[in-house]
Amino acid sequence: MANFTNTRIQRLYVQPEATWGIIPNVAGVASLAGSNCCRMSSLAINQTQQEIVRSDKTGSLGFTMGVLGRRQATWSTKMSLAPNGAAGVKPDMDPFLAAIMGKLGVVNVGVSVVYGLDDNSPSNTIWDFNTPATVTERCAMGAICSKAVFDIGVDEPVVEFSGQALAILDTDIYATADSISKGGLTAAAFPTEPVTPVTNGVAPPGFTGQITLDGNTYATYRTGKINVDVARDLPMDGFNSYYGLAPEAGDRNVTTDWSMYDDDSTILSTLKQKAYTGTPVTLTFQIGTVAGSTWVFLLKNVLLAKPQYDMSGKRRFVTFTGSRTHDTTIGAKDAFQITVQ
Amino acid sequence: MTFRFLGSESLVGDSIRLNRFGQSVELTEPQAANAILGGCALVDDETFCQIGFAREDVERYASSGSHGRAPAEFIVKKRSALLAAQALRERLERGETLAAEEPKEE
Repeated sequence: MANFTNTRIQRLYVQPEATWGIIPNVAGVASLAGSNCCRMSSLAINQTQQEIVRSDKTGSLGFTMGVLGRRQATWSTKMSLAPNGAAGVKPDMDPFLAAIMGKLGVVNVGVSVVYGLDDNSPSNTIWDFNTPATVTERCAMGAICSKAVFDIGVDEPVVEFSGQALAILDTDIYATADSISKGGLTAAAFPTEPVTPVTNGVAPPGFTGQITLDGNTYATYRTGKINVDVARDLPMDGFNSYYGLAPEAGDRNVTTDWSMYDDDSTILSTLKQKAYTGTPVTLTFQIGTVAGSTWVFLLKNVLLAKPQYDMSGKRRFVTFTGSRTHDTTIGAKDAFQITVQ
Repeated sequence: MTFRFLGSESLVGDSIRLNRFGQSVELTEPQAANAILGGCALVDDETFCQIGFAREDVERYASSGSHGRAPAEFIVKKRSALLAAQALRERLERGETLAAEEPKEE
């Protein structure tokens, strides 16, 4: 009898790639280990391959059979903002943070891990294991990250990462996969899930911490988002290739949206004035209060969006939607920084 | 080998849950290597004791949330333990083993 699989019994493993599209391996055997596990609430990896339909008329309304076109892969995953729990140790989601920010985090032992921006496009291999192991198990290789959305102020703070991947390999196609889809693996069978996954940390309550807007601390902040959008993709127009080409990157756009209670305080009035005059401000969103389990998002040179007033609640809200960060100077790459401390 | 936990919560496989600072756990060397490389903040028991954690420290500050009100001496000791844990991790990342290094002969 065939076996089913429960969607709850799914595990994600993620490994940084030294070379784009090459699954980390030793002599063709994947170096996947329990240490690469990362808890998530959703993981989706998808491959599409369009049919190239001949456009010539046949004298009938029906299609004639086309040929298979290019293979395109995408991925997305959502997880709670779980730091490691020990200050200065990388969180389990470290490879995803490095992939969106463009470089590895810097460890300050016993203190923090700091993720700054860079113009590179690091890639990962993302593994999707389910139970029983006899169902289709998959991995996405050459996975670059083009978008991350951090939710601030909600009960369970979460982040969602997404992007394109070079190819998807799975247990069904492993034996017949071409060399690109094999990603450097030469072992006889698709890797099995590591027996001892290791995961760390607990996300802090998303409504605790400190919100600092232009140097002033606010307790009237409600909820918001930070959107990191780096126009990274894999060009799908290379001649003689069914797969995407090596990553290309465009603009890096970091914006934030938030809603707060409106009031007549001087500090909020000044903030609104800066939105009207286009005076850049610095924003700091700290989530959590416990050492080792705290996130600090630093957004610099933010041009505030014009305040909008929201009358949908009992008390009036003011919202700032689409406020964009900017580098201090060309090449400073300091518009946005994440610190786990 | 006996290790002590320095983080807030770590799950190692299906059976080991670490959620108290200073929590003791018995692991084989491969288990410990896998856990440490996976980000689990562990230090060997000998080092933990050498740093000078008292039983009261571990009992009073078992929850990482309580460390904000811990005295400076505890925070200094905790920092030393985290440095030792990082040294263990770096050793493993270099491909070395957890076993103590042999003293070099003159």
